[in-house]
Order: sequence, then C-alpha cells, then structure tokens
Amino acid sequence: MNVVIGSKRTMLVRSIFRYSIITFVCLLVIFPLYWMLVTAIQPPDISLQYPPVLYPKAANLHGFQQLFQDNPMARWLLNSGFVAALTTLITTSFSILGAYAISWFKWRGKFVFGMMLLFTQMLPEALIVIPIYKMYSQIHFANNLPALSLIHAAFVIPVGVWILRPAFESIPKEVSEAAQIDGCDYFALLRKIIIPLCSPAILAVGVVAFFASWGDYLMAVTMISKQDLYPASVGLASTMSQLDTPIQELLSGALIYGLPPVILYMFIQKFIISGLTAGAIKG
Amino acid sequence: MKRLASPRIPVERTKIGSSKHLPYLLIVPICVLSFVLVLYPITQDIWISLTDKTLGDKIGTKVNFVGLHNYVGLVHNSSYLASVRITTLYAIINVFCSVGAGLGTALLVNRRFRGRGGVRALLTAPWAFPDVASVIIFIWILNSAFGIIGVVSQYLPFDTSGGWLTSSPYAFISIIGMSMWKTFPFYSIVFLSALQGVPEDLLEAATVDGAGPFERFRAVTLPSIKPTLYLLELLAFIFAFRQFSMIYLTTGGGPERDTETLVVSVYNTAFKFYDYALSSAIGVTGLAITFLVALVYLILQSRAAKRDFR
Amino acid sequence: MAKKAQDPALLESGGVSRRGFIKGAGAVSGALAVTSVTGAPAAHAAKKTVNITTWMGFEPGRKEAWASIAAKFNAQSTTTEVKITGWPFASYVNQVLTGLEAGTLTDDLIMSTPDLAIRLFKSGYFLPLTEPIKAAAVTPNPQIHAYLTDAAGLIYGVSVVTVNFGLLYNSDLFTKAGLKPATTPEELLATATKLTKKPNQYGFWHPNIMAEQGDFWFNLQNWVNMYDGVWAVGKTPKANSPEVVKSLELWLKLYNASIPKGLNNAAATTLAANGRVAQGFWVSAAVNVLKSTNPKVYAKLRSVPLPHASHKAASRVHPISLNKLGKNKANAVEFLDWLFKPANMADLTMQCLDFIPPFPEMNAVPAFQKYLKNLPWIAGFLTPPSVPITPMDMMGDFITKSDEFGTIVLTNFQAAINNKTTVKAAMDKAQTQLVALAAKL
Repeated sequence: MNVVIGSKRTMLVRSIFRYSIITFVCLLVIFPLYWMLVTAIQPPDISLQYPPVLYPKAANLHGFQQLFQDNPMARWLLNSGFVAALTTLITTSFSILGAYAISWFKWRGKFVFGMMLLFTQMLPEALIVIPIYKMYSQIHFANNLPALSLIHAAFVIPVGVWILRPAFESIPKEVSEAAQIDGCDYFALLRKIIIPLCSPAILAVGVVAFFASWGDYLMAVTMISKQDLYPASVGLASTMSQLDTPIQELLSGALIYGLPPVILYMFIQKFIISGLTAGAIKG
Repeated sequence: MKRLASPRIPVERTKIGSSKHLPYLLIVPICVLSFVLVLYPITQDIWISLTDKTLGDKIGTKVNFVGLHNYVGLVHNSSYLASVRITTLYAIINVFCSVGAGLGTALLVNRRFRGRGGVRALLTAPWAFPDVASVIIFIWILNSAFGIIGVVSQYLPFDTSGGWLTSSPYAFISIIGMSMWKTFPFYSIVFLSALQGVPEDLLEAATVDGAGPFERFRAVTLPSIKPTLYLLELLAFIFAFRQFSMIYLTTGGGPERDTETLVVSVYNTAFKFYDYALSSAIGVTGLAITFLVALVYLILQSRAAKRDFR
Repeated sequence: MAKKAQDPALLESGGVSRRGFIKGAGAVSGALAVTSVTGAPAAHAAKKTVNITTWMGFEPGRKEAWASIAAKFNAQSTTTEVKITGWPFASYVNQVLTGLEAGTLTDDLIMSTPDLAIRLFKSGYFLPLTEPIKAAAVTPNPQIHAYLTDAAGLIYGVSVVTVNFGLLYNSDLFTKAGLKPATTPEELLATATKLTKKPNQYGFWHPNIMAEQGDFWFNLQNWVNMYDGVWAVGKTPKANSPEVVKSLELWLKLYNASIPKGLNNAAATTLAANGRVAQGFWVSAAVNVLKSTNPKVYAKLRSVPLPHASHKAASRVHPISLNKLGKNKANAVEFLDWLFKPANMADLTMQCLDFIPPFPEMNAVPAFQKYLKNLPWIAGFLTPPSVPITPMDMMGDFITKSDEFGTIVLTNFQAAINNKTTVKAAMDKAQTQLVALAAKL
C-alpha cells in the first residue's frame, strides 16, 4: 500500500521503531488493567509487599467470593444492567424519531431543536443535579431505578441523534423514492428502509447509551440512597469508603463491574467506529 | 458500512417532508424529556441562585430573594476564580494532549502490521472502562505506601512523597493522566478510521514528488482528517468540562482546591458548605460557558459548511 | 474480614443470601411493570418496620454488633421489626442532610455524629426522648447529653456510642525497637520518627486526604488539645491562636516524618492490620475494625492517654434520635424503651467494643463490669488521667457549622502541608474566612 523509498536497512529500522512505539503505547494503556487483574487474583499480603512484584505469585478467587458475600454485589450489577438496558431502549427509540425528524423533514424550529440538543449534550450534569434531585424527591421519583434511567436517557439522546442523523441522511434518494412508489407511508419508510439500512449506527447509539448509563456515578449517587437499589457504580464506591474492604475485594469489584462494557465494546467496536465516523464526518 | 460512512450532500426531502405535523410529533418524546429534566431544572437553578437558600436550615426557614448578590460575590471569590482557571487549564490540556496523543498513535498504527486488530481492540478498553472502576484502580496504583507508581516514583528526581493525589502539582497531573489514559486510545481509534479516508493516490503522488513524511502529513493527511480533528477537540473539551466522578472520587477537589473544577466546585459548595444558592450561582455561570461554547461551535460549523459547498 | 454470623438481620444489612439475591432480581424485573420501586419488604405483615439510619452497618465489628442487637429485639417483639440502613461514614452527613431537606428520609430513628446531631437538633428535626428514658428508668449522663438538652430539660438524643481518643499503639513494634509510648508531644514525634521505615513501616497514622474530609477533620479537630488549644470561643474563631498553630506545626512535622501520605482510610487500616503502623490517636471504633480485620494485631494493641500535659481527649458522642418525619413513631419508641434498658445498652456497648456508658445505671450491669476489667487495650482511654471533652468545648458556636469550619481549616492548612506557606500564614488566612463564616451563625 505504501511506496517506500529507501534501503531495506532503513525500512527495518523504521519498522522496529514503529513496533517499539506501538508496544510502549499498548503497555501504557494496558498496565492499569493488568495491575487490577493481578491485585484481584492475588492474596492481599502479596499485593501489599514491598517492593511490589510485577506478576502474580499466587492466585485465588477469594476477592470475588468476598465481594459477593460482603455486599449485595449481584443485586447492584442487576440494578445497573436494568437501568442501562432501559436507558438504551429509551435512547435508541427516541433518537430514531428525533433523527428522522431532523434529517428527512423540513420544518420550522429545527434550528432551535438542534441547538437545544447541542446544548444538552455539552451540559455538565453536575451543574443541575441538585434541582433535578429536588424535583425528583418532590414527585417521589428518588430511589426509583426507571426514573434514574430517564435522566440518563435525557443526557445521551443528543449524542444519539447526532450519530443517527448523518446515517439517515446518507440513504440514497432513489431508495426512498422507490419505497414511496411502493406505497410506503412515513412510518413504513422508517421501519422498512431506514432502520434496517442504518442498523450499525443504531447499534452504536445503543452501546453509547448503555455505557453512559452503566458508568454513571453522579446521578445515581444523588438520586438513589437505598443500598439495595444502588447501581454497581455507587455500590462499589461505597465499599471503597468502608474501612474493612480488602484491596483484593475492591479490585475484584472493579474488574467485574468494568469488564462487561469492555467485552461488549470489543465485540462491536467496528460498528461503533463506523457509526461514530459517520457522525464525525458530518459533525 | 463504508457507504454510510462516506459523506453525502443531504438530499432535499421536500416531497416526503411535506407532512406539516409529523416532524413535531416525532420530537415530542425528546422535548418532554428535555423540558422536564434539563430546562426546568435550569430555571430552578437560576431561581435558587437569586436567593439565600442553604441546606439543613431550621424547619420552616423562609428563603429570601437576594437578587444578584451571589453573583456579585463570585467576582471577588478567589476560590471560584481559581476553579474557573483550573477548569480551563484542565480542558485545554485535554484538548491538546489527549487529541494529540490520539492522532500520533493513529498515525503510527495506521500502517499495516501484524496484530493490528488486536492492538485496536486493546486500545478501546479504557474508553469503555467505567469511571468508578478506573478510580479504584488509580487510587490503588498511585497510593504512596504500596501503589506501584507511588513506590516507584520515590526513585524519581522530584519529590512526590506528598502523594500523587494529595500534593500539588501532582494531584492535578494525576487527574490529567487519568483522563488521558481514558480518552486518548479512543481518539486514536476514531482517527484511525478517518485515516482510511485519506486518498492513497495523493499520498503516493506526494511521495513521488519528493515530499517528506511531515510535508505529506501537512499537505494531504491533515486536510482530509480536519473535520474529525475538530470534532474530537470538541469532544475532548466536553469530556473535560463535564468530568466529575473521576476527580471527585480521587481528590475530592483537593489538595487546597487545586483540582476543584467548576463542576466539582458546584457539588462541594452545595454539599460541603451547604450553600445551595452560591452553588447554583456557580452552576449558572457554568451553564453560560456551555452555552457560549455551543454557540461558537455552531458558528464555526456553519462556516465550515459554507466552505464545503464553495 | 471477620466470620460472618449467619443471621437474617445481618444479611439484610451487609451480606447477600441466595434468597436476598432472588428477591432483588424479582424487584428489578417487577420495576419494569411498576413505575415506583420502593424496596418495601413484603414479609412481616403483622409487624411494623422501623428503620435505623446509621453508618454502623458499614463498619466491621460494629455491623455485626448492631445486627445481633436488632435480631435480639426482633425476636422478642411482636409488633416491631427494626432494620439497619444508612450509608458509609464518608457520605453519611451529606445523605442525611439532603434526605431530610428533600423529605425523603423518613426513617424513624437516626444516628448522628456530634456535629450532625446538634445541627439537626437546632433545626428541629428531632423529637424529645422523654418516654423511653422514663420507661427504661435511666438518667442520661448530663455531661454527655448537655448539647442535646433544651431549656425545658428535654433530651433529644441518647448516646449509643461515645468514643474518645487515646494513643493506641502496636506493642510488638515498640518492644522490638526498645521504645516506650510517648508522654509528651516531643516524645511522640521522636518515637514516631524512630518507628518509621518507609515504605515498609510507618510510625504514626492520621487521615490526611480531602476525598475523606470528614475523617481528616474530626481527627484534626482533636489535635489542638496537644497544646491546650480550642478552635473557637463563642462566635470568635481561634484558628490562628498560638496553641492551634503550634499543634498544627507538630502535626506537620509528624506528617513529614512518619505518616503514610495520601492513603485512604481503608488502605491505612489494612496497613495497620498488617502490623505496619506503630501508633495513632485512634478512637476506640478503630480497635473494633482492627480486631475484625486481623485478630493477631488486635492482640498486640495497647493504649496510653494522649501524650500531653492536660490529657484532654475529644469524646465523640453519637446519639440516636427520633426523626420528626418518621412514619412509625410508636414502634420506634418501643425499640428505644427496650434499647435503653441498662442490660441491653451494655450488651450493645460491649459488642461494639465501646466502654463509655451513656447513663450511670449501666455501670451496675455485672457483665459490663467484668468486660471492662478484661480489655487489655483499654487503659489509655479510660478516665483518669484521660480527660474527656466534647467537640462543643472546642468549637464554640461554630459547632452547628462544623463541616464548613473544617473545610476552611483543611483547605488552608493544605497550603502549609504542600510547603507553599507556613502554618501560621495558612491559619491567618483561614481565620479571615472563619470570621466571615461567623456572620452566618
């Protein structure tokens, strides 16, 4: 693919250089995760040794065992999964509708709507978490998981619309015209043509929504104050400040809580990148 | 896939878009959500910022309207001004360093090499890794008694004995490092797919013309990835401006408020000083900044759009 | 982590059982259909549930103690079921204040830290405890309860945990080094320095991170007793008084010489439990944690009174109170009637490894007398010569704004910790800000 001018020697030097940089970057990125794994499977007295050892000298699963024994960890993970799934559902469906309106129709107020989305997307939630909490407690929505996912959705939907819009716009005119001739109405067009053709982008929206919700700490810690309703982020943060949580248990928690999104992401990273790139190119 | 990714000039949808009410119906769900959970809270925030509301008042204490009193105080409030400075610095460093590192990595990895798929997958891990889990790892790694970085850095020529999360300027460096670790691999992935769109023939032509790697990057690669670059810079800014949990859970804004960004300051003012009104006032200034940045972005974008159609 | 008692109340508070897990899954899927998930227990239809909001459910040792007390009460009551709920110490005050403010904290019984208690008492969130005090026929110690007593003599909170500071040390490390625990501030610095071999062993522990500000502050609050200082008198802050500055200077020397820097409490406790921390000004609560985490180190623990001339040590009174916003007040009172009985209170105190009775009647309980004789580490905590004083004595009128006071002091003190300025200059700055705070009292 490349025309390289130069001797074999310089090529070799270059490729060694490149590989060493790549290795360095990878090590940098992976080291914290590796260290988490080592600490999670290693008895704490080894982890606490000085000087630290770089590889696990002994391994056991006590950390995981204790994690589930000492805390309602399974329940916390379920709570997180539930909130994230609901957020994903709301976000994808609302974003599809919104993106459809923006990309396929001419209407007054589109600019204002777009501006509102952009503003919401940039808005740090921390700035308005207190008024949201006050409102939620007044209408008895605090300590309510579905209500929490509504907040999550409200803040990811702009990203969703933003990812979907260019994908929707890229559907060729001919396709839609053909569909119209076949007698498709607007919803049939959306259902039969747009959604199937844009499924990678829609998937990307779903994943982004899932991450945002699974990873949220601020909203959850403010809205949810009952231990059995904690999502995993809040639950883990609470074990962090407990005096007796052994380091092995804590990092086992980080591992279990952090892994699902990573695995999920690795499976579908290609879709996400193309979905995001579609967004990226049109901005 | 490739086809969807390629930019197209939007087709005029007049024919299909002739329905008058449908688009409004389509946006109803989003609007309801936004009005209730974003716009209404903002009005509440603005209202509280004009009062003297504090938390934990005597039951039945009357809240007084104080006008712009809270805002006037901010002008002389050194910790507020400091938090604006810290936020700006944090955001700028994120925009330049994370995006720069992402671009650099992408350029390096763009060549074909063995294990490229694996490297890509690896590089996505931190982005997908949730904040709280990252916090747990970094608190452990940086801790001065038995964290690996904490221990190893004792042999460095500068004095980090005050702790990576507890002394200046290391706490700030630590939160920068954490956010870079989390974001730059992701940016590199996005750059990577943008680099696929760089016209191969132009690069070759430039090489034949005798252009060096830097010249090729400036003349060919950069122009074609510019939209991605801008976009990621915006993303990096938003990320930095919004970042709460990673800072709050590691440093709590300390030491000496040296890592107290605007959002952390809003939270600390409300929950450490129990001063709701002041916290809201700080929040409202943050909202104004958000609004301004969004506006600047829109203007830049519409200019870019005009250029595209030239 | 200590042996887990397999009783249901404990599983409620901290652990998870298969049944609890399935119940949780059910609630989550149920939430799909219903908009509101309140987590209200369906069982015990005949009994009314009384929640006790506390941080005790998150502390090793105490968690088990409270669970066993709750189980004991639940077993004998036909009308009331008590449950332990709440949040970990680090977020406790925030959660309670926001919950009360928003009206979502409707648990009947609330435990508070001293600073929180007086804030809530003054704000009118508590109800007097006249009935249970009468029912149990006890006379709460006026010295401990003065700050929760109104003009009419009604008491709004009865201490369930009173802890004070002592110099707790690992006798093993002292013996090996041939050292004796300090009796003066200067000796303290000397022993701590000698016992430090970084990063393997540290001569002293004191919380020092802003992410756990609450712990940092209540420990530093006590610190001014080293040179007989107070933080405030009435509405006048004393942050830059010579006594306070001198105390903080000593702290800073210790910090640089012998304190593990930047550790959170959990990591420091682990360090201590591994026998790598020689000593600290600990409250007895810490002993319980160490006992549960590492019984071997627990066996080595001994204590002496705080090493300064006056032997003043802050006593922290943690009362239980009736929440005005509570739903089942009669049932809550029923529990208090039971809890305040000297034998039951003694039981709780002993299981918590505490030793300061909230009312003199408890001293008559034989098991309690025996218990006091058999605690090897207790000497330094007991009066005399240790002289208990309350946070109220150190904080003056600022006691209702203790958190804000602490934030100001710590934030400024950190400039000195980071060597940017002297302790005196930092405290001068704090003093100016505290004077401004005084205007809000």
